[in-house]
Amino acid sequence: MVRQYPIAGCSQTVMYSLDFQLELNDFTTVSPDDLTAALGFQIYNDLKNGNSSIFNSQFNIYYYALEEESAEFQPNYDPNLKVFYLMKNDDVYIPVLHTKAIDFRIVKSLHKKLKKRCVLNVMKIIFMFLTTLFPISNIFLAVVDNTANILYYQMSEGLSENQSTKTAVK
Amino acid sequence: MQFTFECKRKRCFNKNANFTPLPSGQDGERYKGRFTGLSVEIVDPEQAKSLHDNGCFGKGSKSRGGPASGDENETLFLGMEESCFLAHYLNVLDITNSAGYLMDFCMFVEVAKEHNEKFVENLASYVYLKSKNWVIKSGIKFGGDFLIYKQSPRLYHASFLVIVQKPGDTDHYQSKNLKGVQRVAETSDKDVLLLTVQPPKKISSSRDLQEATVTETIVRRFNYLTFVQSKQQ
Repeated sequence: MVRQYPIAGCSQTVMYSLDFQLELNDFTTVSPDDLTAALGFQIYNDLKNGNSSIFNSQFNIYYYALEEESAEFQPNYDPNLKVFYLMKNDDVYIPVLHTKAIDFRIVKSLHKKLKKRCVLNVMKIIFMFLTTLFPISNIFLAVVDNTANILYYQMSEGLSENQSTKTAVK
Repeated sequence: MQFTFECKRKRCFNKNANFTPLPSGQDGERYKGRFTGLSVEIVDPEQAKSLHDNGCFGKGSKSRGGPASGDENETLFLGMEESCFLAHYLNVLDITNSAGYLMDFCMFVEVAKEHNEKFVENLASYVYLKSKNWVIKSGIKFGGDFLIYKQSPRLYHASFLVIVQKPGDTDHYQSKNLKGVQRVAETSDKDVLLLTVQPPKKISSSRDLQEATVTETIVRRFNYLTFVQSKQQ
């Protein structure tokens, strides 16, 4: 969305800025209900960067930097698994209201689904003779209460069988 | 047997701060809140500050406690129980939904029960604890329903981690569950307060909550050796 801002002290000159901040409506359109949208929006506000406006006193003007970080957040809803999640690069955040039970089967299914997506992307990249690999997604549960207290828990698949063992030298 | 406890005071530079337990609602002043789908939000900064200064209600949207970030866009989030208490028991808060209509008691309880099936029990516990002048905060970080403070959390550590249950609930009386929650509370120098709530048969008005009964059970690990040593001293 392109917005026009007046510059203080300059009645004629204007500047343009691209505003990529997500609004509640962006979550409402992809969420099955208002509660899910509110949960997702709450997590987004908690995770995004702070204020990006910069004041330049020398020229007595304001200008705004692009909020590239917040633009990378993407709200998603999987209708098959019936789960909403917020995605940013290789991180996935699943909001859960603190009074609701956590269905770890859904979390596991989503993880498998996203892992398959990563594998497909890797194959495409190899086919295109590129060497960049996408990491497997990290999944975080975000437990939210009604006053914006949020606890994040990272989900892992279990113990690694290849972990190294350090032996003390005698 | 009556349980005695001490309220642990924090080291605070403002030890003589006056604490007002409830908003006065003088001159017909009413706070305006809107239900966001998750919580009740107080947008007006003066009202937000007033509610937090008079009873420590709510949490700043960009702060750990009251709205203190200095950000002009910061608002105050009220939990469901405290919103209901302020609106329908103290009668100082008007709550509107997304369509702009006032939410009456029944409408609010119906929505709250969608969030939490134990909302009526939680509300009864909240009103019960408020009647004893506790400051009540979310217990999410310690695995409970509420944390209760003698006064402002800026001045005192929480005394109890509160868990609300129905008479038929036995989950927290299972050994592993009770030990788990007690251990979490103990590491932060709190005790566990179990509130067993027999809800009213119907809840069509705020006065119906009078029929609810609340039973207290306090859980603290007993260390026999320490007990004997304290007796010998």
